[in-house]
Order: sequence, then C-alpha cells, then structure tokens
Amino acid sequence: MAGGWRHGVGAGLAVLGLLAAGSQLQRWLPSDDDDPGSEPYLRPGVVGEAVDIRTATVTVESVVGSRTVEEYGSEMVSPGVWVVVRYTVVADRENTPVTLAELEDGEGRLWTLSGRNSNSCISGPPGVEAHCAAYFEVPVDALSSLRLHLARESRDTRYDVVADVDLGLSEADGDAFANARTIDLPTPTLGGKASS
Amino acid sequence: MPSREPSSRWAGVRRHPRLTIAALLLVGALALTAVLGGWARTTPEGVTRATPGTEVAATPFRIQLDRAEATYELAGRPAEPGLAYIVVEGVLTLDSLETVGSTTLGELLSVDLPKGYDAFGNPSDVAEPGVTVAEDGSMLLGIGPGLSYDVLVTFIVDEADVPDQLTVTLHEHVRRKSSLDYTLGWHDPAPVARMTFDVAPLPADRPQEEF
Repeated sequence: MAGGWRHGVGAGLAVLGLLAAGSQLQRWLPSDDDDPGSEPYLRPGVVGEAVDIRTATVTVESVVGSRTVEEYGSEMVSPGVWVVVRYTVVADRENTPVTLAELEDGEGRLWTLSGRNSNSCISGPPGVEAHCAAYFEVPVDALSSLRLHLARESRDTRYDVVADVDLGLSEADGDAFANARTIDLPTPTLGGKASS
Repeated sequence: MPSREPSSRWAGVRRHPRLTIAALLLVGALALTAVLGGWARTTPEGVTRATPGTEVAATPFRIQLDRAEATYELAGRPAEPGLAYIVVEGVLTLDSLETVGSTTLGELLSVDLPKGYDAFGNPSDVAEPGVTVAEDGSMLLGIGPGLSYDVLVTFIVDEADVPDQLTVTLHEHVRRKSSLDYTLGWHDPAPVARMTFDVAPLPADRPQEEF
C-alpha cells in the first residue's frame, strides 16, 4: 500500500497547487472596474417624464415625504424623513418588473432596499400600466440632491439601462416633510388608476 | 549472523500513512497561506474594554450602548411563556456611503449568553440579537447612510437564564470583495470592544396577555 499514501500526498499537493494557481490567476483577470463598458447606462429624467429603460418605460408620477409612514396599521417613524415615490411602468415586449430602486444623493450616498426601505411593483404585461411605489428613509440633508434609480434587474445592471430621475426636491421640502401628516403607504396596482 | 530489519527513516511514515498525509497537507496549507499573504489580525490593537454609555466605532457602524434590562414585553410584544427579553438600549449610526443590510448588522454584536431563541421562538445555540427601533417598535433589518436610531438590541432567553450581568462584544467588519462572487461587501467580523452591563432584573410579575 506504499503507493496509496504517495498517491494521497500527491493529490493533496496537486489540489493545493491548483488552488494557489487559481487564486493567482484570479488576481490577473480583469474585474468589473476594468471593464467600463459593462457599466449601466444612466438615462436621466425628471418627475413626470417617461424614461425608456430598454425593456420598459418608467415614469415617476409623484414624490411625497413625512417623518412617519403607516403600513398595515403599523407606523414607522424615521430619524430622518421618509421619501415615498410613486411611479408607473409600462413593459415593452414581455412582462417586466422593476426590481432595482435606490436613491443616491450628491455626496454619493446610496440608499438601497435593505432595512425598512421597500419597493412594491407588479410585473405588468406589455402595454399595461403597472402603478408602483418605493419608499426610503433618508437624512434631511440629502433631499436637495436626491436622484432615483430604477431598473429591471436589481442583482445585475451591467450593460443595462438605468433610469436616473432627479426628484426635484429642495431644502424647503425637508421642513415640509418633517411637518407633514403620516403617509399611508400605497399598494401596487395594475392598469387603471394608481391607488390613493 | 543475526537477521536485522533494515532500518529506514521512512518506516514511521509507512506505519502511519494517513497521519503523514494529514501532516503534509497541513504543512502545505501553511506554506500556501504564507505565499498568499499570511495571516494578519484584523484588529491589530486587540479588543478594548469600553464603558457603557461611550460610543464605539465598529466599522461600518458607530454604536453607543447605555443600559441593559430584562423584561417580559418589548414594544407591546409579550415574550412567550417561559421566555424573557434582555434589552440593551443604545444609539446606532452608520458610517458608510451605502445601506448596510441585516447580515452585517446581525454580526455587529454578540453576548456571553449560553443559548437563546430566535425571533420566532426557535431554540438557538447562540443568542441572536434583534434590533428594534425604539420610537416605533419596528424591526431594523438594515440601516442607511446618514441615519442614526435610538435602538433596543434584544435577546430572547429562558426566563430562568436571565443573568445579573451581560457582556457585549462589538465586532467590526472589513470592506472587500467576496471570494465567491467578487461583489464588494462587509466581511470578516472581528471583535473590537467589549462592555459589561448590570442587567436590571425582571419585574416581579409577568403581564397578563389580553385576548
């Protein structure tokens, strides 16, 4: 059985060698940062303007804010303010949801859909308006430079189009939102008018 | 002439091939680790001892923990029969440019409780922290940049296991690419500070549930 342990040692060393070689090779391969062509294409827009995101058209309909939102009878109070965005999605050729929704401010801060933030959107069929809503809590000092990003796929935006919508808010909106009434969070609907 | 077994330095190797293989693999792994950069402490200064009420930087968070108490009720939610909450009050802030999710937040702190229960009342070998927003009682499953919350960090334990003192260990993270999918994220939680609290005891009576 002398060959048995030699075989085991050889196999172990071969595995370790391959792991080392693979690890080294990985360092040499280009990363996403080295491939600017894969960066998502930001298509700018403003509130009320339809933005073509290649597989659908999205339109931000309204932006409201408050310190408190209510969902299913439970209130959530933000140490900053809640920003509630209603938007419409019209799919182009096949049912298309919008699963990427995030806010970015002028300082490069990014609020994604973790935590208490949420995006509710139905995957609508082509030509039918899906009325969606996203809400985020942000510090008041971010309001004046907030932009909303909307895209089809949240897990991978490479080579895709991302709507980059200026929410048009100002510092004055911070005071207004801080003193606004509780917002009853809207539910997504399909076709017809958006829920109130 | 007396017969004599040929002595060989490899005799021991032949007698214990598996042990030899394991030893060689270990040596190989250590050599590989050295080649790839070796081991380094993620917290070179070691774990510091902090006092309650002081703010601690535990990348990507800053957290100040003030006091601890045992209670039967949290934000209007009574503990299951036989169980109790241990609640640590504090202030949690994020020092990052991007929202951080529940996994990193859950790894922020650990306690010296022998066992506990998860949020659904299932037994767990470790006491898992839950973070509740003090102002409204909602669960905080992540935190965005520029926001700071008054929080209740909670652990669910057996009523009989409520300790007199609680030691909380805070962990910091490192931002790097995942070895699996190469996405940037917070990894490698490592203890950065410890603080010990006297735990205010449970009230004498468990509140009655209203039906």
